[in-house]
This record gives sequence, structure tokens and C-alpha cells, in this order.
Amino acid sequence: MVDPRLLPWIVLFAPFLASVLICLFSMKSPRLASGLAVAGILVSLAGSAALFLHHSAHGGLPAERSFPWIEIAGLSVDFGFLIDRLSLLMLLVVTGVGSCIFFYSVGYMKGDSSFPRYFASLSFFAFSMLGIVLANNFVMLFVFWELVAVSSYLLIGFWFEKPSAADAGNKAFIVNRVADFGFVLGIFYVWTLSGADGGARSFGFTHLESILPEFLAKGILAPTALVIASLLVFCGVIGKSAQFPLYIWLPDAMEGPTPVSALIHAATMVAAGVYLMSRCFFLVSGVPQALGWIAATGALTALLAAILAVAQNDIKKILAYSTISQLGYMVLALGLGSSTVAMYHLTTHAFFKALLFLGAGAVIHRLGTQDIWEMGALLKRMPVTAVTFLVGTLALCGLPPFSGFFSKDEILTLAHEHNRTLYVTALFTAFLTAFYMGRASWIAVLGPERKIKHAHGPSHGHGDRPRGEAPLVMLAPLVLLACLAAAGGFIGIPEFILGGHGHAAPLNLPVAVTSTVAALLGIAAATALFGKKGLSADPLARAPGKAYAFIVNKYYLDDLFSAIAGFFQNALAKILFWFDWNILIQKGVNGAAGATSRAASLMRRAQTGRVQDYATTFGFGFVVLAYFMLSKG
Amino acid sequence: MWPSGVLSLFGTEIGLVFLSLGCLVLDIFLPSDKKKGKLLASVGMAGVAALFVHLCCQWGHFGSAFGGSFSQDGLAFFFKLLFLLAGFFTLFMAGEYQHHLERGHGEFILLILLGLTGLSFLASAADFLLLFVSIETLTISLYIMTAYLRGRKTSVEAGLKYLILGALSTALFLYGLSFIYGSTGSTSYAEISRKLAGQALPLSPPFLFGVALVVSSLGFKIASVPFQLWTPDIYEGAPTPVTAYLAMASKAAGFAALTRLMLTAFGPAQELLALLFAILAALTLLYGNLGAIPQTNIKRLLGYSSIGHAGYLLVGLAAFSHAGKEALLFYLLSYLFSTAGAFLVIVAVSSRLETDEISGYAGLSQKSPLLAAGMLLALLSLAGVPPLGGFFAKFYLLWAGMRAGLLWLVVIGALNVITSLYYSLKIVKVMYLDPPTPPSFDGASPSSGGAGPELTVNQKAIQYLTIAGILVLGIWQGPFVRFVEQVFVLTVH
Repeated sequence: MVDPRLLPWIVLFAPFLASVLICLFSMKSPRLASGLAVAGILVSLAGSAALFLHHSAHGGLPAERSFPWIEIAGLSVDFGFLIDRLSLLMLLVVTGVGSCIFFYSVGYMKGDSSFPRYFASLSFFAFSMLGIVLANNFVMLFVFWELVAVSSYLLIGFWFEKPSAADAGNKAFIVNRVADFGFVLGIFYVWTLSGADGGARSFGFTHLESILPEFLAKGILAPTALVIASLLVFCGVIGKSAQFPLYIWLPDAMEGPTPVSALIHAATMVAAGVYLMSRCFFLVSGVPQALGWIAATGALTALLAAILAVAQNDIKKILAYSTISQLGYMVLALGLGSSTVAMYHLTTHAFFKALLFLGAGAVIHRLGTQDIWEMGALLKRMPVTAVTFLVGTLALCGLPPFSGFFSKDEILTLAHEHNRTLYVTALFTAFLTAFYMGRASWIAVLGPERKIKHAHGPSHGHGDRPRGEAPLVMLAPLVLLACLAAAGGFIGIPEFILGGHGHAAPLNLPVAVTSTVAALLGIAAATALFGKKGLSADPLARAPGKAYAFIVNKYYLDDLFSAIAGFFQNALAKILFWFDWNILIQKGVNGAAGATSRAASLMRRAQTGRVQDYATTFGFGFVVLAYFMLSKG
Repeated sequence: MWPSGVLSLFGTEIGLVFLSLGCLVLDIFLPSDKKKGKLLASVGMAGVAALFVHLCCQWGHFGSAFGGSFSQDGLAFFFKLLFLLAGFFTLFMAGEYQHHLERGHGEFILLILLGLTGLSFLASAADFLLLFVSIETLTISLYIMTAYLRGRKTSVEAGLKYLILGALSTALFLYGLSFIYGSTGSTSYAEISRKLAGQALPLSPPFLFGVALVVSSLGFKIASVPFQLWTPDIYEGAPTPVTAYLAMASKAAGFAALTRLMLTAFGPAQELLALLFAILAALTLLYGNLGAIPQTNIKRLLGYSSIGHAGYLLVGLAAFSHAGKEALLFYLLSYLFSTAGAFLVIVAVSSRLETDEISGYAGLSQKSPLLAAGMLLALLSLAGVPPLGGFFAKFYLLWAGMRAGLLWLVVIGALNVITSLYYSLKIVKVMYLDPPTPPSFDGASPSSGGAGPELTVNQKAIQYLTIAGILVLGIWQGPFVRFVEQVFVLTVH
């Protein structure tokens, strides 16, 4: 048995090592590259499992270990690991779902010309994500937070020769920078607050958790300060977890390979925001004002994204909006004061959404299209994929006994207790969820086979498309995830987070029945509209008024942002450019550079090369020194 | 009788003497050619590495000997580690450089080891006489090594210049020592500071005059204005491993002596010296960095750059607080790895290209990505770009200066980062953007199309070692900062 203190290191650095080794040695050998990457994530998984077993057997949670990293008097940052129930759960999710997706990728990316680069980036992502999970302080978390953003950028723009993919990578990166600006301010504000009593300031989660509520109780800190701090930190969540109004990057991020969408843009990275809020829940738990804002953001995001998902025809975009909507649920749960429920939904969502994406990927891989209107008859053509996709759909719709039912039900129960408006919004979102997933299933999976109008989607490296079912290396992860998506409600996740003290929100029968009915209604409505034979166009498009156009154009939110950016580029930027070019560059920079060069050539003249001159200078130098010493001393 | 265990205080020195003698004996029995030089270099490296490990195990085993003139403490420990590292890198370069030498392949290695012995004693010197002897042990081997390429005019010229100016510096040192001895009656640091502590201020003029003389002499070693004029000529003319040795070890030796003196014998004059060092730091910074701009020879450019770095290091002496001293040591450590990285590339390139002109580096990134990357990281670290070691070292140092109230000096230091970035990036541009010159690559066969210098496994490994050093010092400074803190906790003063 390995020393449990070593386990976090192994978990964190195994994928990193894999990534480095791929970059150094196997950029030309795809087989070795995939082997290294899979081995890396499996080692991480084994390490996480060992850590889990160790702490289940011996307790000892939370365990924290830290090492000095950056140290100057007054500022010290550690590199440390915080192992508690929260991070253990997240470790298992990331490495577990990650392993499935790594395996799947071997089949999905087969034949791609940049196969090793893909696995190097994916392993690097796993490393960065695990860093977020293990971090015991804000700075370390932020470093890995940004590394995750970099790897996400690399993977979204993986097929960078496609302009749309390169643009999507940029969009994701830039939108996240806007959000992270707030996050950084939040981190430093929290750091400042931590020294409010005159003691040493700290970035560490455990330390902050113990002192901040105390400060609040003693009145050293005003609640307003904490509201500001937590909302600034929440800015990071709005970006990473794609909340309103910054969710616009996530649908575009679907330009990346589908396994990437599954791992990064559905199961793990986007959930990092929720994880972050759970990690520093002590910031918000005592300030209802902040909680209110968070809950409202979550509910609004859930609703808006669900509406958008109804009008999408690209299967990955449907799933992307659904992801945003589900992330909205998680944030809503946070805002309702329960990080346990949020983490519960995060976990089940990771199972079924990864499953749905991988299923969609298998179909895309097979048919070469992402348009649901070009699919159909999948039960006949790819039975295993189709069945697992339907399992994922039912879990997402939240029908008992699938996993999504339990976690979503806890959120609805919480909302029911706290706030009627939020409850109704969440319930309506549940209806919409069932409706758009029903629509996608009826058209893409259960409907008749439709012709492919023009092949698009990832055409890279898939010259001749395989017939029939996907290869085993892709099917096995699907089946595994389908089992988890189906049974995830029974394996005691919330009990684990709470340490075996029952549910955060006990089953409330009226709520459970209402939500099930809402989901069933959604499916029924979808069946009525899309279950007809011979349907070849979206009946929703014929809806009266401009509502459909409004939704298809994503509420014109992208156009609004473009207009704002355009305004700054065209008006303000031009003035600044003039100032920059004429005053700063011409007069300032070039002037300073010219003066420096002139000084430099003067200096050069002092260097005669004659040793006599050198010795003379030496002597005079000493005389000046001696004069200085004697006159001042 | 010595108390038991005293002998073990000299572990490093005894080891180095035996290593030198062993090399001398091997030198006699082996036929003289390049291969022997390489073999001896490997033996030397193995020995130095073993002594490094041995020294690491001796942490905390401190004490003094020879009536207090030899002191093994935290500071000595740190500088011995530093010198052993510098010796290790120099020996490797000397091994790679063998085919430039016409004769005396073995002696070249021997001289490096003898210089290292001097350095090791210098780190522990707590008495002016021991300091003098160890400085001379180092400097005399450097004189010989500088003029080692007797067929090349620049090398002989450099050797002669170094000898004349070095002799001047030695004379000043001895002259200063006589004044210090005359006014205090002792050459032992501890004795001197005890005597002076008993006296009333102001300090006596003869003592101050002696201090000025000794500081001038050591100013020559560290290449501080106004004793810096030799640096570019000698850096350019000397064989490249010797230049590296001068930059990595000889400069650090000057700072080792000054740091210990400031802690002990010069302690009473600390405030005055701090002011002096602040002024010298500013002038040295400006001279080194401005002078580097028009240079076209990479060794000469690094010579100027090393003057600039002496300026930064002097900031640490000027702000002689806890943070200042610690930052000084950290800076030396990061400077060691960055300089080693740069000179390893220069040795590798010059052995193929027969030139040290910057224009010869055109297209290096295509010919040899690793060499270009090694040079890039070394240069950026020297200039102080995050997240490399040089950045944190500069940051730490300037921050210490700020705490000591030297805002004007910090501003000059920060502005000089821009200048140093300018001339560093010029080299980077040549390496990465300029097209490769139609190669006059010796050894590169036409079929390889100038594919570039093929590196041996050893070369790659050492280059990676420097890169790792630069990155680790930049990214994970915590343990090293704690280490230099401990160094001063465990130093006698």
C-alpha cells in the first residue's frame, strides 16, 4: 500500500507526466500517445479510489497538507492539498468519467492526424482539473483554474484549421477572462478581509472558513463586505459554469471534438464553478443577500437555456444548452443554501450528460452529421448507442428511478421550501427539459431514417465511415455510464457528502409527484408534436409571431455583446490608438529608445581596450571611494 | 589536539584537494589528447557531484577551526554548494571544449579544480589572511586559464589584461589589509569587530581607508563600477568555459567575501558601506545594461550583462536587511542556473560554428530547438521575465530595496529590466525569426542540409538540468527562500 500522503501527488501528477511524455517522445506515435494518456488517467483513478478507500476505512477527514510555494514576508502562498468529502467525490467524478472518456477518445479520434496532440492536451486538462479539486487555497486554485481555461482553449480549437473552431476557442477564452477579472478581485478582497482583525492574511480555505464567520459574528466585518467578496468570486463561476449572461461561449465550444465536449464542457470543467462555490461556501452561507443573487442567476440561466434548447437542430447544441440549464439548477441549489444538493446534481449530471454527449458522438462519428433532421432510425442502426442515449435522456428529464430524478427533486424540494417564484421557474424548466429532450429523441433516435443533405461535422480523418455500431472501445464507456446514469440515485452520494447523516432535503412526496408529472407532460407534448410519422420540418418554426426568431437568434445576446465590443473598437479604440501611436509610441517609446541608444554608444567609447586606461580608471575609482569613505565616515 | 570532528568540517576542501591530486596523477599517466581531457572532466564532475551530496549531508554540522579563521556555518555552506554547482557546470563545458585546446588538455581541468578549492576555502574564510590566500588560489588559476588559447591573440591579450589589473587589485587588497591590521591589531573578523565595538564612533580614518581599499579590490572581482572595465574584454577573449567560470563562480566569490565582511569585520561601517553600495549599484546597473545594447558578440554582451547583474546584487548589499541578504543569495542561485544555461548553448554552438557573433545564431531554433529554447529561457530569466527564476530573484531583491527605503534605486533597477529585455530579445529575434545563414557548419554534412548541431545525451541532460533549475526557482520558490533564511540563522555574526 502506498503511503496515503503520497496519493494526492500521484493523482495530480500522473496525467501531467503523461502529457509531458507525450510531448517529448510520442508526437509521432499515436499508439504510444493514447497508451500513455489512458495509463495516466487510470493511475489517477486508482489513486483517487485508494484515497477514498483509505479514508473510508480510517477516517481522518478532512486531511490537509501544504508546502511552502511563494514566500515573501507578508505574503505566503502554499501548494497544498485539501482532502475532504467534497474533493474526494469530485476526484472520483473527474477521474471516473475522465477514464471513460479517455477510452472512448481512442476510438473516436482514431486516424486523426493530430492524435498525439489531442491526448497530450486532454491529459493536461485532467491535470489542471485535478489541481482545482485538490487545491487548499485560492491562489493555487486560481492557477489551475487558468490552466483549465488554457487546455479548454486548446481543445475547443483542436481543429484550428476550421475558422469557426479557432473563433470558438477565442470566444471561450475571452469570455472567461472577463469573468476571471472579477474572480481575481474577489480573491484579493477575501485575502484583505482575512486580515481584518490585524492578524496574518491568508488564502487557505480551512483558515478562512474558521475565521470569517467569527469576524462576522464579532462585528469586525460588515456583512456587506462579505456580500461584495462572494459576488466577485461568483463572477468566476458565471464565466466557468456558463451562467447568464456569460453562457454564450459554451454552445460555440461545441466546435471541439465530441469527447472533449463530454468531458470538459459537460461533466467536469464547467462544473468547476459549482465546485468552487461549494469549496468556499462559507463565504455565502451566512449572507442571505448574496445567496439571493446566486439563486436568481441560477434559476434565470436554467430557464433561458432550456428555452433556447427547444429551437436547436444541432444535437450538440441541444446538449450544450441543456448543460447550461442544468448548471443553472446547480447554481440555484447553491443559492438555496445547500452545496450538498448542488454537488449531488453535479455528480449525476456528470454521468448522464457525459453519456448523452458520448452517445451523440457515436452517432456523429457514424453518420458524419450533427443535424438531428438528418438522423433517425437509430434503434435499428445502432441499437446499443440508441438505448444508452435514451437512458441518458430519461435521467436528464428526471424520471424515476433514474439518477437525475433524485438530484433534481432535492433541488425542487429546496426551492419549494424557500421561494415560490424560484420553484415555479424550476418546475417549468423541468417541463421544458423533458420537452426538448423528447423532441431530440423522437427526431434523432426514434423517428424514421432521414437523408443526409450534406456531410458536415468533424470530417477530419474519417474518410470512410464505419457501418453499423460503434467499436467496442466506444461502446463500453457508453454502457458503463448508462449504468451509472440509471442507478446513480441509489449509491448514496448525498449521504457520503454529509458523512452519513441523511439527506439535505428529504423526499417531499407532492414535489416529487409534481416534478414527475411536469416531466411526463413535457415528453407527452414532444410526442404529440414530433412523434408523427413523415415529419420533415420543425413544426415549431411555424409558430406565430417573432418568438421563434427571437429564440433562434439566442435572444440577440451575442449581437448585443458584439455591438458593445464594436462600439469600443470603433469609437473609443480609435481615439486611444491615435493617442497611443502619436504620443506614446512616436514621442515616448521611440524617443526613450533613441536616448538610450545614444547613451549606449557614449558608454562604448569609454571602453578603449587599452589596459593603461583601465588601470587609470581603477586608480581614480579607488581615490573617489576612499574620499567618500573618509569624508562621510 | 583538535577536538574530534573538526577534520570533518573540511570535508569539501579535503575532497577537492584529493580530487585535484588524482587528476594530476591521471594526467601524467595518460597520453595527452582531447580524449584525456574529456575523461578527466568526467572524473572531476563525478567527484564534484559526490562532494555536493556529501556536503548536503553535512547541513547543521557546523563549527570553526584554525583559531576562528576558518568558519563552517550557514553562509559557508550555501556558497560551497553554489561553487560546487558552478564547478560542475564549468567542468562539463571544459569537457565539451577540449577540441579547441592545442595542448594541456588535462591541466585545464586541473586548474578548474584548483580554483574550486580556493573558492571553497574562500566561502569559509573568517580571517583576512585566509581570504587573501583563497582569493589568490582562485585568481592565479583564472589568469592561466584566461590565456589558455595561446594561438589566439584575443585570449592572450585578455589573459595579460586580467593579470595586470588583477595584480593591481591584489596590491590594493594587501595595502588595505595593512591599514586595517594597523588600526585594529588583528586580521581575524571576529577579533576586529569585537575591538571596534568597544570603541566610540566615528571610526578611525586609517580603518576606513583600509575598508575602501579592500572594497575596491573586491569591487574588481564582482565587476562593479568603477572597477568593471576589464569585464567585456576578458569575457570575450577567454575560452568560453573560463568566461562561464568568471561569471558563475568568481562573481559569487566577491559577494561571498563582501557578505561575510558586512556581517562581521565591516559591521561597524555597515551604514556607510550601504550608502556606498547603493550609489555603486545605480552606476553599475546603468553601465552594464546600456553598454550591452550595441554589442554584436554574445560573450561580450554577456560580459556587460554580468556587470548589470552585479548592479542588482549590490542592491542586496545596499539594503542589508534580512530580506536583502536573503534576496542576494537567492539571486546568485538563479543567476548561476541562467548563466550556466546560456554558456552551455554558447559552448555547443561555438564548437560547430567557430563564432561567438550573435549573427551566427540566426535560425538556431530550426537547427536545434533545444539549444534555442535553452538560450531563450536563460536570457529571459536573466532579464527577469516571469515565471522564471530570474524574475522572482529580481522581484525579491527590489522588494527588499523598497523596504529599505531605496525607492530611487528600485526605480533604476526596474527601468534596467526594460533595457536588459531589449538586448535579450534582440538575440531571441535572431534565433527565432531570422532565416538560418547558409551554413558554414563544420561537421554538418551537406546531406543533413544544415540540420544543425546534433547534441549528445549528456549535453541534452545538462541543458535540461539548467532549464529545470530556472523553472523550479521561478515556480516553486518557497523551499529555497526558507533555505536562505536558515542560512543566515545558522551564520555566526
